Amino acid sequence: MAETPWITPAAAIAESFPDGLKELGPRVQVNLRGDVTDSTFVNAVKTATGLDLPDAPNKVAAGKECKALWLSPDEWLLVGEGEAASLVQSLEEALSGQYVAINDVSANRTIFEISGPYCHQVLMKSSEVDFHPRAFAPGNCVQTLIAKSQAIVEQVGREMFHIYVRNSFSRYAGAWLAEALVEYSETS
Amino acid sequence: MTQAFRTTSGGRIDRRKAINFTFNGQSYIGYEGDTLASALLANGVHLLGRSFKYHRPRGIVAAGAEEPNSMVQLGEGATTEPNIRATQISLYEGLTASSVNVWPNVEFDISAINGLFAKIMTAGFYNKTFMWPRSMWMKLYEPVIRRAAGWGKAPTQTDPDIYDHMHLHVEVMVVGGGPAGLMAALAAGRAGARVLLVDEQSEFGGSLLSKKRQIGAKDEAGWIADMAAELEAMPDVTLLSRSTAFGYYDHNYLCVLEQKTDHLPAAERKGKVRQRVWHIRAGQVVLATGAHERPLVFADNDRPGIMLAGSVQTYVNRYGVLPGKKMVLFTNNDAAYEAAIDLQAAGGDVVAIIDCRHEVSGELVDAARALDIEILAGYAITGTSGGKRVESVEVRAIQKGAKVYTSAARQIDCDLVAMSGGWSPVVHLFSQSQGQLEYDEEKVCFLPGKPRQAQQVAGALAGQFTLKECLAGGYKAGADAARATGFTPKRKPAAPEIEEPDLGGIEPFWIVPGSRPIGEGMAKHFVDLQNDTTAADIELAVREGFESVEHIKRYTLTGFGTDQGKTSNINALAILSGILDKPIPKVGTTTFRPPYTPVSYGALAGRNLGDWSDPVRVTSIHDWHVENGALFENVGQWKRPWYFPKAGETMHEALNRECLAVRNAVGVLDASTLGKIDIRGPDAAEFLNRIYTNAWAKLGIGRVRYGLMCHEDGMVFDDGTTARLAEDRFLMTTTTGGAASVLDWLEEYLQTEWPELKVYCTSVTEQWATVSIAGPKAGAVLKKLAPEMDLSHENFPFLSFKEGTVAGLKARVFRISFTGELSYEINVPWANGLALWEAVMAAGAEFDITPYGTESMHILRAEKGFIIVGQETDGTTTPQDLGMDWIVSKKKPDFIGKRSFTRSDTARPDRKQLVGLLTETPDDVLPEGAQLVFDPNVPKPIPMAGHVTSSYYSAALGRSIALALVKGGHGRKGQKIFAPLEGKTVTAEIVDPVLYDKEGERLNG
Repeated sequence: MAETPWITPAAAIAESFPDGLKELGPRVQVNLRGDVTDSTFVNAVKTATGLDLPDAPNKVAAGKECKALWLSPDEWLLVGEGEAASLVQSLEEALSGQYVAINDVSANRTIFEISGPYCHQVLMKSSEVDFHPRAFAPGNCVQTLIAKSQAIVEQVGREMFHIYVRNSFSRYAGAWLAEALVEYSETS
Repeated sequence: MTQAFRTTSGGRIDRRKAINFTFNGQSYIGYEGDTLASALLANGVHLLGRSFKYHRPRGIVAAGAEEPNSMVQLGEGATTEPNIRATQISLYEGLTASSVNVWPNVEFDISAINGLFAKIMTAGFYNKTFMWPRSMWMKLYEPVIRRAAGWGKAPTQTDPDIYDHMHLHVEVMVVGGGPAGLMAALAAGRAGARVLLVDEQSEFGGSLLSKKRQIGAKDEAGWIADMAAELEAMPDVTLLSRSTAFGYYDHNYLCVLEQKTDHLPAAERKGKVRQRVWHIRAGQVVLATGAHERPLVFADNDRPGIMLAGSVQTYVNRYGVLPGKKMVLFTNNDAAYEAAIDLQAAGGDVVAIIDCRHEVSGELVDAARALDIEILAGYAITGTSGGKRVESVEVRAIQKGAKVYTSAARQIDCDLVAMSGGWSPVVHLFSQSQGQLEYDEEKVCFLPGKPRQAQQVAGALAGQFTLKECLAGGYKAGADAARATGFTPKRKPAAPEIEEPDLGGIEPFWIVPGSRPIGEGMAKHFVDLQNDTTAADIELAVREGFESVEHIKRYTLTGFGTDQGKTSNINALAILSGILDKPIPKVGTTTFRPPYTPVSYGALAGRNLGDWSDPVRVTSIHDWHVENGALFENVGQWKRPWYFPKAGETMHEALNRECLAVRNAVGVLDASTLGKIDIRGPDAAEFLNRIYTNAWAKLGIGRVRYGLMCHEDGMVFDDGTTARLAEDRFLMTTTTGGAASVLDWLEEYLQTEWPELKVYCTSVTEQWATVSIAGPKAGAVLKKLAPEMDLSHENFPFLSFKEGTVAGLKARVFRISFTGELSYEINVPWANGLALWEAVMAAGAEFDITPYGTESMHILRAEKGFIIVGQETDGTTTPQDLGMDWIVSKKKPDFIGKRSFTRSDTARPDRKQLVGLLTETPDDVLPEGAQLVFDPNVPKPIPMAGHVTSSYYSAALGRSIALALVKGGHGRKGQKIFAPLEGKTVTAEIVDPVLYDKEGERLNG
């Protein structure tokens, strides 16, 4: 690594990304907490979003407008396109009076996309989690560390992953992922 | 003379591919497939270095990881590496290596004179000698003697190579790619398991690389190639050669060092990862780590040219090298005869086989006899001669079972002695995995007992010394491992016809008896070649009262060093067992610890170097700070602007300018790093009541309150402001460094202590970028940006917040202050941070708005006596110590820390309490951390009265200011206190910590 990533402007770091790595534009991200064993809650979420919230660990449920990533037994990250405010509002209305937490976290994390034949190797360099196809597949997500940055990793295709990291870690994580790919970029 | 000891055919080297290399300045040629050791032997070079203590000439003993002697300095400059075994260096074009522990050179070494003083350099020499006089440590012991005893030199330049780490999960991991390991991998792979096979060698095959065997229709090379090809074709089988499993930890977690480019010429390594540490999590582990041959312990058994028999066989069969042309074999077992037979077949001359057993018979013995090799049964080598290479051995008949000779000495000339004391299974990883060892009397070795982890053992490690046993044992282990991880093994293939000799038996023989007791005379019976430990040293250690094998190890150094006693441990404890007259299993073994073979620091560090050591976190406004010349300060993992010097400005001048701007006009601070936690639920207010020391139930919606958090011990651990967003919803801010630990703290209490509370916590730290404007003109700036917002003190009072539009951005504005000035913290979604900042700068231009950093923030808050957690507090500070009793509720039934405030220790009056300090000389700025005393003139040691926690020059006050924790400080206002510094003592007056605008009039601008 030639230059210190924290002094390099963010745009310059992004420009140097090799094939197979990019930072996605903003997505709607809403953090939702509630009791999945309570059918009132589950039904209201379904009404508001069309989503059947996954109750199995590390699963992603896809809906029309957005998808829900399982984060913990009572926590999901809803991710979609469009307006965060309207998603928050429809959730607030549907869940009014219930014991829930709804937070617009669209700006909280940025999303990197890694793709191509080497994305599994990049993850093997970066995380202790088993991302082998036998253990992890499209429709799975997991909270882990990418190098030393907290992250959510979601598999979106056979050879494509989305990596959600906190914004403040984006230069570190972006530079790390780029570096992890270099070995393969040169040989491919 | 080029490669005079190379055979004309045979071996796994490629004679068409010559490789040039340099050793000790001399150029040589080897072949592709060679190790440095085999190439040197091919060129007749045996003398590789000098021994640790006595500087005796030493040569190559083994052919693999067990090699105790042939450590070299590999490479030059930044990439040089010390103490690498020549037996483990794959030869590459341009390789440069030199001897270690020699001066001026290996042929003539001055320290060899140590040999003459050998009598005093016995066990415990260091402990006994370097005690007195103490002053000699710096002059003689450290610089001179340490150098004489040291090995290679560590590089002094930064390592330019790339290292990294990878994680791999498999159902079955197989360690060792010999016949057993290959079969295990095959069985598990065919069953469908994800398999990893690792082997430290350059190619798979293990012991088969050194032996001639027919397996079914194939010879050994063909069989290995078939196995490797089938494994490679399996998509979920990972094969790693040149990869050493060096550590075996709990839960089948193993670490492997893969050497990816160490075998390549320098030009081909550029830009590539040199070494990779693999972190493996395996469902089952099959250990097939093989066995190491044991040397025999006899007089002067350390001369170059005295080697392990199996290693001689390896050099002959694998590398096409005759390590000598006139060989004597010394053995206590049949298997070693094969080395003699193979050397003879390759063109060498075996002049005699010295077998310490009195009755010898068997297939290999007969084969040796058929070659007309003289076999002296019931004999032993009782001495050797030769300077830099063995020239002859002295042999005598020995009485069976007794420690005496029964014949006169006979001299046999030779240039090579092959020795074999039997084989020790490589139990290192098994032992690291906490498995217990069991001693096998018949096989004369320790074998793995009951495993403690999900694990199988196979091959020589499991005492399966024949190829037939290895193949069957390996397959079974692999199949069992696959089954244990949920796979169904395929039917076992029919066992192939294997041609191998009957390996016969072994008789334990630990030390050659002498006519005089061991240790008398000049002869040395080396046990540990790397540490120059002799049998006499072990005897001496026992005489001096050491009996535990662990103590003996430390006193005699047996088993230390880069080889960790792979060839010496068992001999040492067998000799110890003889001295103590205790059976070997009762003596026990020393502890095997990772790493199995040395691992460089570079490999362990991987990519976590320099800027990668720890994540660097930055805000969305960071690029602006960089462009505008900010200097940065580390706050937790964050880089925060420290201050913004203008061209030519000193730090002092910059801070004065920034602080005065806030006091007189307006300053702007990037406060995005503060932790933010959304707290929501019907019990949110009750939860805060229990977490914070003050009361929260009655906080109005739209209002903000400052709070302190304590741990159960009553000590402050975080602070910040929390706003009530709704009846059931709060937004808590934490310190920058404390954000994660506060969230953990909240979750811990919610999940373990108060599960009945209905509260959810959500971290939103990086949802919001925060721009804080402070100063008498802050309101004017905000007014320009948010003309719609009612900023009147009645409708937007101190400690309240509003939602609205600022600079066209949806924002939350908090009216709080850490400077004592009128101040607004404007929060916008993270990505809008820079846009907001630039809008603030533009709007503030007419007031000369001044960006300031953490240092000015610290000064401004210190002028107001506001604490910083971690600076004024250190985990032993209560709110009362800080003079903040006002924030500790007397009415609440309970909160975390409450009961601790009534403990006698937290209630005592002479605790260290927060005060302000004003130095007698206004320009004296006390160093932070300076110790304080009430009376500097009392005899030393002077009782300590406290310490300075914060200290600055205050431009607003035109003098230095300090905060300090002083014993009983609250009752000492007006008293003098002293800071005895180097060269001078500074006098200061104890004052109230609030030094600026005591009345708080400036809060309203």
